[in-house]
Amino acid sequence: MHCMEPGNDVNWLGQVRKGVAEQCVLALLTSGEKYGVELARELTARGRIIGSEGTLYPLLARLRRNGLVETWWQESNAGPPRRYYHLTGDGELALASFKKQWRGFRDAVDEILNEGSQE
Amino acid sequence: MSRQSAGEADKLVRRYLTQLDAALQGVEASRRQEILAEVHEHIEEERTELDPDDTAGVRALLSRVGEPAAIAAEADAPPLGSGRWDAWAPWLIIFGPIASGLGWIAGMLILWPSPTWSQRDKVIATVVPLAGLVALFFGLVAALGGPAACAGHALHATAGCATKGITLPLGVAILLAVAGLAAHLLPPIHLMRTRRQRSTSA
Repeated sequence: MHCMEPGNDVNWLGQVRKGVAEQCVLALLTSGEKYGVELARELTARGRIIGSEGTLYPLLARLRRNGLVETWWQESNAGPPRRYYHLTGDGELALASFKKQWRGFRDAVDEILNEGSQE
Repeated sequence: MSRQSAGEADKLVRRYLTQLDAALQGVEASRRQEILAEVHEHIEEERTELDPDDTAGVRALLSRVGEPAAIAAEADAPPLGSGRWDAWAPWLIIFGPIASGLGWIAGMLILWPSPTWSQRDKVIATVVPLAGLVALFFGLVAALGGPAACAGHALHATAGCATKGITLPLGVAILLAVAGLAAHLLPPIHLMRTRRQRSTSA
């Protein structure tokens, strides 16, 4: 379970991740469709954007439900067919608007943190 | 040997998926199926890179997939604490009807709204223990009352004896009582186990 001890970063990181990880999935899909294992590896390898590989799937289910991502099956040359995830038009729009807001938000947080360290 | 450990690796995966399914209790059924299916596919996909009997590899794989509770939290499964009277439900189902009907009703009021158990488990835990209790009662009356009421035939009790309108051979009466007892106890025990499984996976 999540700890709330001071100095433990799990709590705030978990909160931030929850919203941001979805956007990272959308961003990874802009370069083309991907299957689950591929997405999970990229997200855990790069600074642990998601907590564990399995948490990707509830997240993808949510994106699919909101119409931002679509799935289909595709034959693979290694083993059984794979479920591929593909960005929809709505997904692209959502990502574009997130990018704009995120940069503003990030700059504001940085500014505040920097002011804090100068005092 | 290698076949045995392939079975072992399969068992690890099955156990993991059972735990995940339990952790996802309370998530809407179709979403729960989606998530289970996709996590299963993920595991199978990664397993194609392993030897089928590589149990250490499967363990490492499952730990990368992560705690079932973490996946359930991402799916917004109600946390375990939301059914905080859960521990009482099985006991009330067992002893409630015997002590007083009210206990059983309290058990039902805890059981039905709780996110801890599936709809199927709830139906079974409502109907089967009561039916079991009735069977236990008639079995006992026939087994104990039967031979006593016709003392002369005590040694031939298996041949059957009529009391209070219940006519059953002793063997059948005992069987009925035992089956009734099992039907009364097993569903609540199953509830306890499911609950424990959920709390260890959380």
